[in-house]
Amino acid sequence: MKYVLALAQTAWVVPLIFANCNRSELPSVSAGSPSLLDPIQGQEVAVLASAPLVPPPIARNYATRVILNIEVKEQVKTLADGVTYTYWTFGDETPGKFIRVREGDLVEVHFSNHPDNSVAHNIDFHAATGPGGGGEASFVAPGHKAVFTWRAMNAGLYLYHCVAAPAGLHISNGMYGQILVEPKEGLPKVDREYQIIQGEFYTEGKFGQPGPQRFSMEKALAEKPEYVVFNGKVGALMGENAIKAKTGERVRLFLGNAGPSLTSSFHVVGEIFDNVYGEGGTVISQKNAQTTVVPVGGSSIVEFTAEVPGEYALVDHSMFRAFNKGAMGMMRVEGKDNNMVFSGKTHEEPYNPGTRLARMADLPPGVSLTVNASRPAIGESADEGARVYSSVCVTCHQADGRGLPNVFPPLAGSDYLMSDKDRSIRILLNGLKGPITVNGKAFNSEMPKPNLTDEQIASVLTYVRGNFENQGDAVTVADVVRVRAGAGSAPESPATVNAQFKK
Amino acid sequence: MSVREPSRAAAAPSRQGSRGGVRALALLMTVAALGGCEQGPLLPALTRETSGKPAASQRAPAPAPAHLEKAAPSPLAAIPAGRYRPFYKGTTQGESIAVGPFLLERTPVSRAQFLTFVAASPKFRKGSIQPLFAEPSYLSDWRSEFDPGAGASSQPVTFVSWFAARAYCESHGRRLPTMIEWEHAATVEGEDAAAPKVEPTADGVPGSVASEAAFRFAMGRSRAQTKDAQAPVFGEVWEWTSDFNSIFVPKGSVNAKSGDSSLFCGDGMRAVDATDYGGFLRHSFRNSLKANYTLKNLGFRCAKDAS
Amino acid sequence: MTAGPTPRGGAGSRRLLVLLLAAFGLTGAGAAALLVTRSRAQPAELAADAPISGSSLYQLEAEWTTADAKPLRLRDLRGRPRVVSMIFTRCPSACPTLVKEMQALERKLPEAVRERTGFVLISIDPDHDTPEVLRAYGQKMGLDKDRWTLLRGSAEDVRELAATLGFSYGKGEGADIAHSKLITVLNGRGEIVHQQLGVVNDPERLAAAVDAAERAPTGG
Repeated sequence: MKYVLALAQTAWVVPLIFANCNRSELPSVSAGSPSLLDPIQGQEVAVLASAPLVPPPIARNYATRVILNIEVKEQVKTLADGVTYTYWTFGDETPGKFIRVREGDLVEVHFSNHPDNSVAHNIDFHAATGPGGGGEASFVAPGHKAVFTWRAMNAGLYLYHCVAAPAGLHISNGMYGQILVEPKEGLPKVDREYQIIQGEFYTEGKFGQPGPQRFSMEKALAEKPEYVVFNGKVGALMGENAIKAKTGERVRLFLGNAGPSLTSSFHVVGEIFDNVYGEGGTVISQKNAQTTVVPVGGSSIVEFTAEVPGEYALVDHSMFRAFNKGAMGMMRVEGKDNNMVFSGKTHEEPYNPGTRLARMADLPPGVSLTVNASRPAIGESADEGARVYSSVCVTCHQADGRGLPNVFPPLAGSDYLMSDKDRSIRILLNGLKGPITVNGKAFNSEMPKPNLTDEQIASVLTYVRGNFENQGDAVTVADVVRVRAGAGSAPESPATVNAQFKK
Repeated sequence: MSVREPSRAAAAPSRQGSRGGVRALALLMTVAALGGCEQGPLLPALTRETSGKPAASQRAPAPAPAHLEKAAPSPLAAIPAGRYRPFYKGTTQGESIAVGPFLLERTPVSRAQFLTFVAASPKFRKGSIQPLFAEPSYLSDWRSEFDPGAGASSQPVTFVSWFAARAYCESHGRRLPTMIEWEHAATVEGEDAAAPKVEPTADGVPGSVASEAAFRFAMGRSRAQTKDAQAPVFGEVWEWTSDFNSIFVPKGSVNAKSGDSSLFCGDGMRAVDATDYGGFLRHSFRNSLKANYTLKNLGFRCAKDAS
Repeated sequence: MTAGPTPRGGAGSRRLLVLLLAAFGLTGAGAAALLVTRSRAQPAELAADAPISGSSLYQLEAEWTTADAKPLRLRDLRGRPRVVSMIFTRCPSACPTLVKEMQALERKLPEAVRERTGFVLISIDPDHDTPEVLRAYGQKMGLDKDRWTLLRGSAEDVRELAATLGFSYGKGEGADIAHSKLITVLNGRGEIVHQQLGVVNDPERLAAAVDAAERAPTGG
């Protein structure tokens, strides 16, 4: 008892000793007073998660001080197979880690710029209310750190990104992530939650060009990225990295779009979103949506139940971004088949309402089915001939068969072509070079060997001889075989031509 | 009874009471000693003071090693009078202004040159310089006061503060260039003010994947881009200027737009050429600096008035 | 607890007396501590020859001129907390607002603290802001001469001080100078203990910083 009395006599001195304590080590910089919300109780270190995962739902029912450590690192990383890029990252990851706090929390940000970095950075939380969303308070040179706090006054899903000048460059290089401010009552329970953030890369080299790639300001200004990707690189959600679910599970996707240019039309192929929290807000703004718009610098939250096992593509429905620029991911659903919802292919059978071939056989002789109706086609090979022409010959001899003056000789009404059938076969077998005269005009070029089968040679010559103002008979496969046997392999040249003429 | 008596009596039967008092006092002293507070008034006597270190060095400066070769300052290139269009609209509203003539060193100050300087200026040696004048990372990549490591004559000195850079230049009768002077020399060759931008070189740094390499062109005109052999060459490091803090850009700004310009005197520091992202990087970087900062990629060179 | 049979009578009262003495002694120590922390009646002034710490702004050697046309070195300001800003008198709106904010802070401080706090304004427009101009400005703004120090220096010295504080300024159009908004609190040793940067207006935080600076040790 006396012990206690003595202690009590002196204990009150102790607080005096600490009365002058200043908690932070740095000369503090004011960031402004938060408005009064729930009282802050205690503190905790933020629980973070790397994409595509998210931290678990908030369990507490009071506001607290959340300590958030973010370090900016500039690092070369893989953008696609064989392609590297100098990423600017929050925490050595693009997107930066997902942050999850509760409405009313006080977020204390410890923002560090690694000394090896080359430029100054900062951070703007879309969830923060205040000048620059933290941008002004956090602007630091490499090798320095800033501490500032902001109050999460509004619930919702928000982007965070670097906003140092020029901000478009900092974002394009990978400085973005998401923060979810849960409403006080939390979100309805689901079985799986994932985050997907779309972002663009503007590289000097084309999509897929291997090697280290540099930022292209020109493409950025034109808003024409080479890469549009989910979660920071091509294939981040493909193969092994596909997101997973089991049949019957409720899935929630936290979608973000860092841009910096293109709005996203997010769609899960084979799924419908039961609920959409449009623009990442706190209200279900739509039900039964096929595709949700994710604005640049914005977000969206979608929910659906995985009903049928299989693979589901996640895309930006702007198709060329999905297929040619990397805006594609995968969700793999496992579990029992559900034939009530989707049965897959039940059976397959032939379908023949009558083909073109059959109809041509029915035609009376002399009636043509080709586009150029000035001259009847000669049998069915005219179709194949037209196909060969339009894929092999048209580049030089043009669609109208008139060629290019002084460059490529015409086939239309060509005396050179029509005067010697065997020679034209030899040209298609071996090519042609040297000076020739066609319809009185001189040409001196080289026609490369077209590499056609005997059937193709027969059909295309037949086609040309029967079209383009030419009136000639067909060339048969037998003709080609015969000429091939005696033709050798050298390109046809005027010497042989003249020899032919002399014949 | 005498004063001594109670204590003598206390020594035996009341030992518990005095022991309790002693324990309480011991507890108090321990708590006070362990308290991490640097500003508590009792503590300076009990704890080591971290911020009260006197400026004057307690020991006499060590003499510089005798074998140190003196590295002469870099040769000066003559920058002729010309016109330069500042990056921000500011005063000139996008019009170019007259610059020069002046002299500018051809290369950034090397480690060897800086070593010559610190050998003669003890106040600027690694470990001696005061916190006001340089951060703790001052010359952090030097092995010791007089050992800047390998390649000293060819590598630019970095981890130097503005104060140290200024002192070096003054020791040679020179000065730091102004920002306009530096920008003019580093981004424009000759008198052409129409194209102040420095473009990325087509080949860049072959095979290099260092993070600075991708944006090194923002550090100024490289050797590959310099036609005149006598002209200064840039592109290795960011460089201090005498008035690095002369551009006011609200630090949270997305694109150098002064949203609260009415409060901070001076309208819109808007960029003249918004496609010059190298210029943005350079100016934004300067805006993040304080005079005592020492950074890995930040060096300097000196200028001199044309006589 | 007791080693042997409890002594009765005189021994017990002696024990009580010793206990009371011990308690009194400790309380006295506590009171002394209280006295040291709370004592403002006789602040310890920084001795003229006390060494200046390595973080102190007062290591800057520049010579300034006050509004009374007297010379001053920054180290002359040591010994009491200082609230420092850089302004120019021709500034149309931002600087007057800033000065008003500093005056509001001045009024907000507890009297004992206010007595010991100094306010310093340095002009970033020395060509125009001569001592006479500064004196007139001080009068116009109602600045208490005992507490407010207005300074003018060379362009180079102004640039050096701004760079040290982290203050940006540059010529704008005509007489205009674009500049950041920065309030710095120095302790008696001239070390930066707090800075308020930007549009932020947080008088509580500033007052707390000045208060803490005032109670901090000034001895070397």
